[in-house]
Amino acid sequence: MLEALSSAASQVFSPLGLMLMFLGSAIGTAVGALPGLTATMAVAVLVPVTFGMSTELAMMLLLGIYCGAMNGGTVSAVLVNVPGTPAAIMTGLDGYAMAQRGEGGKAIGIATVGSFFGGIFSNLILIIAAPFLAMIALKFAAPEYFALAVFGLAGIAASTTKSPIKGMASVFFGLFISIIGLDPMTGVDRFSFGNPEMQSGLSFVPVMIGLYGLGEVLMQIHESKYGRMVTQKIKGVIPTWKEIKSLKNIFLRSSIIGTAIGALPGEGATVAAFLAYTDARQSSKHPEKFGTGAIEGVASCETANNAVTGGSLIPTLTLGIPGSGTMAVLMGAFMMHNIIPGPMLFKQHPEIVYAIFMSLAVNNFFMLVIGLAGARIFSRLVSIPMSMLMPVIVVLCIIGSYATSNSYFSVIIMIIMGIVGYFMRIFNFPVAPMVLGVVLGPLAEVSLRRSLLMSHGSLAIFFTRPGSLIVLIFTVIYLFWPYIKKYILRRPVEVNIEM
Amino acid sequence: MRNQRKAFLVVLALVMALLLGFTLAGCGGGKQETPAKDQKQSEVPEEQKEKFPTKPVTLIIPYKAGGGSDVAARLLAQVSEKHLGQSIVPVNVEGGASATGLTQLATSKNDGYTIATCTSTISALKPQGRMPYSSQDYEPVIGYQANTYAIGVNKNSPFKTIEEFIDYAKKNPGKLSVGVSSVGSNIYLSAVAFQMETDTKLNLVPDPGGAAKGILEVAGGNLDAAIGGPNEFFSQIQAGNVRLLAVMTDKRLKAFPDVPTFKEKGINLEFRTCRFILAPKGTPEDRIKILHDAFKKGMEDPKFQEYIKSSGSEEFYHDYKSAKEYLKWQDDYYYKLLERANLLKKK
Repeated sequence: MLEALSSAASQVFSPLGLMLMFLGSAIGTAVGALPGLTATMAVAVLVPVTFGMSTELAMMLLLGIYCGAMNGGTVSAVLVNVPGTPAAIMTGLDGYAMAQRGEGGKAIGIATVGSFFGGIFSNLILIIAAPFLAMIALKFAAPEYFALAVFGLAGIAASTTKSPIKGMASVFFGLFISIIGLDPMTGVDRFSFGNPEMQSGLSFVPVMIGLYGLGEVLMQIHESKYGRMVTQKIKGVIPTWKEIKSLKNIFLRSSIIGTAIGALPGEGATVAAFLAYTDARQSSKHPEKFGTGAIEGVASCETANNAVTGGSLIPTLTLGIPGSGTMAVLMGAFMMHNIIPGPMLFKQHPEIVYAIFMSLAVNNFFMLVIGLAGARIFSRLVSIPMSMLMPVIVVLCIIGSYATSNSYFSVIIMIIMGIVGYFMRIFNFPVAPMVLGVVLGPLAEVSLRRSLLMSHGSLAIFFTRPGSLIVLIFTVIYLFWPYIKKYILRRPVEVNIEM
Repeated sequence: MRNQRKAFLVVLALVMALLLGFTLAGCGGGKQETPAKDQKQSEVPEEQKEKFPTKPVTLIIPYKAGGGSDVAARLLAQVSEKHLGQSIVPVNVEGGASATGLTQLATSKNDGYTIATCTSTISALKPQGRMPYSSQDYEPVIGYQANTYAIGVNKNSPFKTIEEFIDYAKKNPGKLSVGVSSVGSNIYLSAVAFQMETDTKLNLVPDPGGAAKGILEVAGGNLDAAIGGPNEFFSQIQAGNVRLLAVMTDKRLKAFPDVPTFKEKGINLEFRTCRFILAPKGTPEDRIKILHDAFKKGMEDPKFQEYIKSSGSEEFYHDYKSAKEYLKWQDDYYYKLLERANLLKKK
């Protein structure tokens, strides 16, 4: 074991290793900041670059990009309310509000510190609990995934404060988008009008870029915001110790949520960020501030989505099951280097496992440095006049959506979704529930149908399996939590509050 | 007035976005064609034949980055480049179970500068009405890799042998839940072939993500069995969670010498999904040959051989002539399976 440790350390802390990780974090942050360029895409494009490298060095570079992109997504979400990666959707809610108040630097600073905390925390959990979590993950089958998807969708309903009906409408519209294309189980055509490109479904990235990117640009034009300068206070990027201390609970809770969600195959950073955000709001003393620029909002989702990095490596490394698209690509890179992830990896190639653990820690450190030092540069983006920035965003939207499938069809989807997003904004329909509906739709549908196939058609399967029952009970408690909380608080003071 | 101005600006922005998109799409197509035209003007046709290839060759990978086909084709491209004398540039065009990328190939210029990789899925697409082209609408270049499938059960499963499994399935039709990949996919069709050859009925539980989830659910004891590639089972077998009952090859696999084949057990079940390189129909034969020879040399590269071993692939090779016959046979076989699974497109 010592041999493996020192072999890993000599690779990670070599000048070349450190340089590659720094480079990876920097590229990742830049890519993450650009809407439409996701971590998955960046990793996939750079996998061939690593062919000539040793497996350890390749992993270091790719993990650097992955961590950097997770954090980089914050920058554009905060500054222009266009999430650079899907995982940053929730960050925009409060981050953008803060930026409009001139606190963009602070939001990025908090997000970066949160990301660092989440990344390090999840890495620790990965190191300590990987074998243990691998055992629980085996117990997760289709019914549990369906229960989780229901949990996620119920969470969306709970999070839509102003008009739950509009929120639900938005969710169902998202679910509807997700069923376009060939039925994933049987290949039956659904709403595709026989168009071969529609048959493969509307892929998530152009939908997201359209709703968030182009939709926002159109709304900006509508509100005649173009030409207006937003001067940014770029002071106070590095959060004060007091701020960090006040957020320690959120950092911890969101790290746990992020790591746990990341460890479940199929779930990803987007869901983790969303759940952490909702959790932070539910447990907050002033939930009404969320969405209007609450520092806790930014901290919670950014901590969670970076905690996913370590979490999602758990099933990938221990089970050989990638937990997300990025992980699938990383696993492809493993295979290219003739390493098969799985329970045996820890026994056969401990030096690679240790190198991954160490490089994740170092990458998070680099990400912190780049995020904090670069925040000033990134903040300047917004002092560019809108009339100049908006066309650039449109160009990025188009390139980003084109790059997802190298086809013009994605650009059309993006533009249509941009128009949809524009009208949703005009009529005050929240956009986030729709996007989450699109994300969770396939998981919910496939898990439901697989569960029913397993049970030969009986719905009881969801209640007789402890895993899914627990998640469903949590869902109900979660939905009624505001009422339960009120009820508990109304009762006489006998309740032991110190609990 | 103000509202009209707003509406005008919004529409203007959209029109400009569309125009930009068109320009971008135009760039993509133009890049590949311009150099070819230049050569035509400056060179005599015979010379052009000898001088293939004079620019990079585009390799369409109709699957997403990081998947099995992506890994295999990228590696083959990498080790074959030096033999071709030009770089081979892989482009992922995913969607529609490879129909999107293969359609793009069918409509590409047949000058040998655009090729694609495909799997046996190509034989399942047209009969299901998912693509207007069949394997006969392309020129095969080479068959370079194949995977077989195996059936595995949980370590605590009552079925110790494949016979016990089949016996139970015969007595209890539709009772055994077996994890497979999505309906109409290779693994799904191998399960159809299994049912056809053993005269059983299984409760197939497909997953669009491939065999991985089914194997995991077998490992966790949530499904009775799963069908997938032997290498996909590998980590769970090593961990002692899953046992393989039989493999669908003609002889036992080197990686699993203890696992019997269906053939040994007297069941006529042989199934493999193969990877080919295709060129558009009408690509000149001399160019196909140049490409084939480069890939053939690439296949002999130690790096590629190492991949074949470590990925649990079968040795598989067809030159551009025998590949065409193999694909024809496969088209017919898949048609039969799809007919049996009731997946043919209704006319």
